[in-house]
Amino acid sequence: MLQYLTTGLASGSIYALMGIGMVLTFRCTNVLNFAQGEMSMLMTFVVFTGLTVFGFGLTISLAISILAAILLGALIYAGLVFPIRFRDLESLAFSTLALKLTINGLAALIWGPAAQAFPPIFNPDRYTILGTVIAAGHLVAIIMCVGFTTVVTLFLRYTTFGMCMRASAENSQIAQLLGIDIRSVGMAAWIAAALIGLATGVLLSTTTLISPYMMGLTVVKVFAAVLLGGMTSVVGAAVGGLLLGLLEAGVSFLFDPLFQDATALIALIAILLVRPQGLFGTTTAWRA
Amino acid sequence: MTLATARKSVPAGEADAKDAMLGLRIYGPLVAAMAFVALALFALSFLSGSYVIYLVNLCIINSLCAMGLCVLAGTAGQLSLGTAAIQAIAAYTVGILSNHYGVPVLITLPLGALAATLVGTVLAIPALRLSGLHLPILTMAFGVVAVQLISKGGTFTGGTSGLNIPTAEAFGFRFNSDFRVLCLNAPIFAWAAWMSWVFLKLKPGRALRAIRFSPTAAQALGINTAHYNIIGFAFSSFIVGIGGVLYAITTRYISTDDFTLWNSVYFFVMIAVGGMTSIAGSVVGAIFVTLLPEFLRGVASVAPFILGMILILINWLLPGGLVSAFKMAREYWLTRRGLNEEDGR
Repeated sequence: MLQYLTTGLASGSIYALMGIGMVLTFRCTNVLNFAQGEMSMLMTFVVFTGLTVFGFGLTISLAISILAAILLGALIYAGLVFPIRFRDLESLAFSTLALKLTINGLAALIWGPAAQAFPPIFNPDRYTILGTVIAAGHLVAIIMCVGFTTVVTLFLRYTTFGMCMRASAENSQIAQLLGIDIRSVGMAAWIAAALIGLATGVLLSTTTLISPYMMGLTVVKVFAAVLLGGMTSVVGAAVGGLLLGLLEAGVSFLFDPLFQDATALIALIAILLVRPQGLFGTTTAWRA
Repeated sequence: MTLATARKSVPAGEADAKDAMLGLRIYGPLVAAMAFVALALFALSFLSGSYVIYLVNLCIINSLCAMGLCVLAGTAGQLSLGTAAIQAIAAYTVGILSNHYGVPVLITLPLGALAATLVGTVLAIPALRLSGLHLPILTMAFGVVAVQLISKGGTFTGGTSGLNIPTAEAFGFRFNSDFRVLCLNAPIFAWAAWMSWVFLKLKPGRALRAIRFSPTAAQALGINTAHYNIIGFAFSSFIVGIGGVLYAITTRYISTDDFTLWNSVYFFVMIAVGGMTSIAGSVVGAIFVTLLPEFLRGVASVAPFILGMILILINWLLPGGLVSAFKMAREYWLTRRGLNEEDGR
């Protein structure tokens, strides 16, 4: 029972972290990011290459991949999102769908489509807490989720730049009139999303094999989690993610692990029928 | 004013003439398409047994799915990422019925399409009543989860190893070669293309275009938006379902690898290349995407990357697809001659 709970919390933390990335880009640049999972996969492969192909240590590999993530986020915003920023939501979302295909194709080309094992990065790689075995990656995910949610919330609330981000999320045109540089806001949001992608990708790969297709199911669950919490707030996304993780654990504990993957879909349909704006969303589900 | 009352107001003879004209305009293209199919089949019979026939079959199947998506995404403006899963439902209906219940494959053909329609309709109900981006998310979740569940279905669905489909057979005639299957596929394709064309010409198509242009205005005109969106989704799923059934019959082997989210995205590339709104455009796009890996022989694994880049560039530069490029070229040409759009018509 407790084992299911910790696993659920851990996978929920991953959903929550990625969900925060999605909410940030959606709120600040209006883009529903279908490529969040692929960004994560790409960054994981950068770390992987640093560790195995070039034989760098973990610190150097992570440092390189952090630089790569910043570059990736900036590149996507400047190259893909910014030129079409005045288009409608569908068109913007569509471009990230194309990006998803592009990144995936690129990764399959460079690293091959087969699944590979990620070298162990935690030592020891599991802990025993209250008689429950928890993988180090899971523990870090839970800690990171709580810490990151707090930091982002505080940042958005108490710093000037955070206030600028909130203002441009509310109404980007008026924010621009008030002298806020929405380009830097958008850039920051996409860089944050790429960094979150890096963190979640590496944490996931400590417990599963990595391949260009590793994020297929996870991304679906992140979408479900984000809609569960409402697309509007960071805390909502975090709670939605944790909730979905726990729900999945509950379903596989009570019924059958077979139905674990269907939980996200059923939760998604249920929330769309009952409360389309999500648990924490404001009354308008989407900004038109 | 309904059609019936409109008819009453014109003299009887005139109404008959109008009906005849309407009949010709609606059924004429079907006759033409069937005649074309007969000619094409005759021409292709000389290539019988070659790889080209297999590729033609694949193009037909992908065109069907692209057309189905075109009705929904192009006309109704609803982005669905579950196309491949709808296709999978139809294909697996064929597979399961023919493998486990001994139903003849040709009889499962309409049943598979019907199953796809049913699932598509049920799926549309929660999503289409809501705005914007709910549909792509819900259909994506449906697509990924459905395929995941199929792959865990054990011997019933063939699990990860897939299902073999028996050869289709009618009155002792076995559809056991690529050309024979093409003789089945091509007329069905022509009929489905004609159906989609009629669907877009008649009231549902007009209603969907109105809804896409402005849902509020459409509602003010008395169009029940949710109703027509669901009709659009059902019809789209039907066409995609036919694509799924024919896929099963043509390849005679199905597995979950054939119906991933990526396949759904490829269908999007197809209709985006062709220009989202036209049936002909989606067929051209489907042929392009299907044949691209063949032209890249040896480096075929570059195809997904190239298709992704194409999609990004089209979405960026030519939101209307290649069709809009022709329009833009025409406008440019007309302006250079000092004419405006009206003079050119």
